[in-house]
Amino acid sequence: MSSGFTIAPGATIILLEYNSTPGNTPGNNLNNFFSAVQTARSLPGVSVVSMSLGLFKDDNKFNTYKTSTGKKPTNTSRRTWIHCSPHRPGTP
Amino acid sequence: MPSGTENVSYSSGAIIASVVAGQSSTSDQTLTWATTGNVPPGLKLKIIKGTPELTGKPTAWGTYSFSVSVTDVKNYEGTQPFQVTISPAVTFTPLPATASLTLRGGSSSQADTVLPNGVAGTPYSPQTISVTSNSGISLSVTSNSGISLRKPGTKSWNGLSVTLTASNTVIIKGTPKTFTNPTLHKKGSSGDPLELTVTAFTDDNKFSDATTYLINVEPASSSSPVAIQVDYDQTTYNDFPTAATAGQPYSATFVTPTGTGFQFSLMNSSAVTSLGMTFDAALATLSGTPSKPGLYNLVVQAKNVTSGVVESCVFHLTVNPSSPSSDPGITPTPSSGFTPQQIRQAYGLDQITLSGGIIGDGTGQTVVIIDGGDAPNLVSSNDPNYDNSDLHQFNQQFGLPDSPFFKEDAFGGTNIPTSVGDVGETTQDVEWVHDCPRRHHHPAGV
Repeated sequence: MSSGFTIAPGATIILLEYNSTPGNTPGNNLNNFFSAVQTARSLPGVSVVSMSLGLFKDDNKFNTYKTSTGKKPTNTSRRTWIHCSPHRPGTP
Repeated sequence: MPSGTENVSYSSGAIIASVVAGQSSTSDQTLTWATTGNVPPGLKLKIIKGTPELTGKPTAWGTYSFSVSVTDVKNYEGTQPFQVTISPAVTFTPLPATASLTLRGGSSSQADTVLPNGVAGTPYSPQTISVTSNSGISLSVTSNSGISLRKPGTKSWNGLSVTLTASNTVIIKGTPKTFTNPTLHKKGSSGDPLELTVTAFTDDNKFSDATTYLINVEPASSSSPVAIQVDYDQTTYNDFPTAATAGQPYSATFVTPTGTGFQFSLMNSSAVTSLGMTFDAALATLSGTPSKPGLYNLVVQAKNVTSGVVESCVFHLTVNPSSPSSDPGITPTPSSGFTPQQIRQAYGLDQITLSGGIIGDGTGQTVVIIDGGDAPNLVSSNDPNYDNSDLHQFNQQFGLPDSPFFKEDAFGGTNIPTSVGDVGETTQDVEWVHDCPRRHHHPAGV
């Protein structure tokens, strides 16, 4: 199953594509990824953010992103973050 | 008030009570004196021949502000503020950040004096701490890491040498190994900065003064934080391992940004040995034939052999069944994979009862999906080519509505990456997020 299997056909979907160039250093790709995370956390009205990748064990940097823009959470600013193993082509 | 010197007898001279005398109507001129505020440690107010003076031997240098008050028998009171500066008897270079730390004869606190930061793996600019005094002194050096030098000699910490010389200097040099941010270190290693306390004792051993110096070590610039990724084919890297299939040989190699100079470890090797797989530390490769399907967490650690920087990442390895599920309730399509209806049935999503007016189709909700690289077969729903896109075709095939869909760059703009990502995965992420449980979704505010 892909990373975000729990959503719905009536929902608006925003696909944020970060630059993940093959041959680029993993560190650069990581920074690009965090740019997308930063955008996801600041977009209004978002319920769920889904990412197809594993994360750092010491993910303090990532955890700082996993809230809305530093304000006290409200019903409209809380969002669920999903990250898990990806589905790969050719597998169920 | 005249200045004084640490560890040298001091007298302020007479303090005159100019306020009190004219206020009292009694002939009883008995006065009560008191001090408030920050009086130099070691000094006290004494009445000498009916006149108050601040006397004693100050034990800590610094500038002190305090007040002297006097009260007569009818409680008439006068107060006068004073300030006095006490010079150090022992001079530390670099100068202490704040007032002295006096080990004997008084109590005062001192903030650490910060020396230049080091960088893991980079030679540290040598630092010299010198201590002088107008009387004979000797030094000792101690630290939070266990350094203890009572006479000239050398101790080491984290690649740095700390040398106490016979001429009352302390020299710090070398190449620090590991950065000192405790929050980024693996559990169990402190990562604390060096706190080096230099103490000067007078030769009569009746007075001592100390200063604590602090050295932080920053991570090497190329490894902060260390990113560990999976090497597919020495040209393509990703943040996750490919899925394995039970009963089929599998291999995944881990890499870091600099490519070489790292020692890899699988911290929870038991997670894979039970599957019949092994981790080759020299090759940083997980290999073998997994025996059973499931989701397994791999805690991979990379240590920079030069700087000592250590970082860990968790990878989620999916081991798929060797054949599609034999669940009698699911009939695989002749082509491949499952239909949306079958997936909903497989996960029991079609059995969920909603209440409170929740329709469960996601209407009014916004979902953000983050993927690397572009999937050119996907375009925004307001794009003229949307009808030819995979998402629209998918919706047509399975009778799903075309809900709003926007493809943007990492910053929410239109500069879509020029490199193509994992198209299959991205497409599937979008389509299955869009499709899956038609009668179930996160209610508003979740």
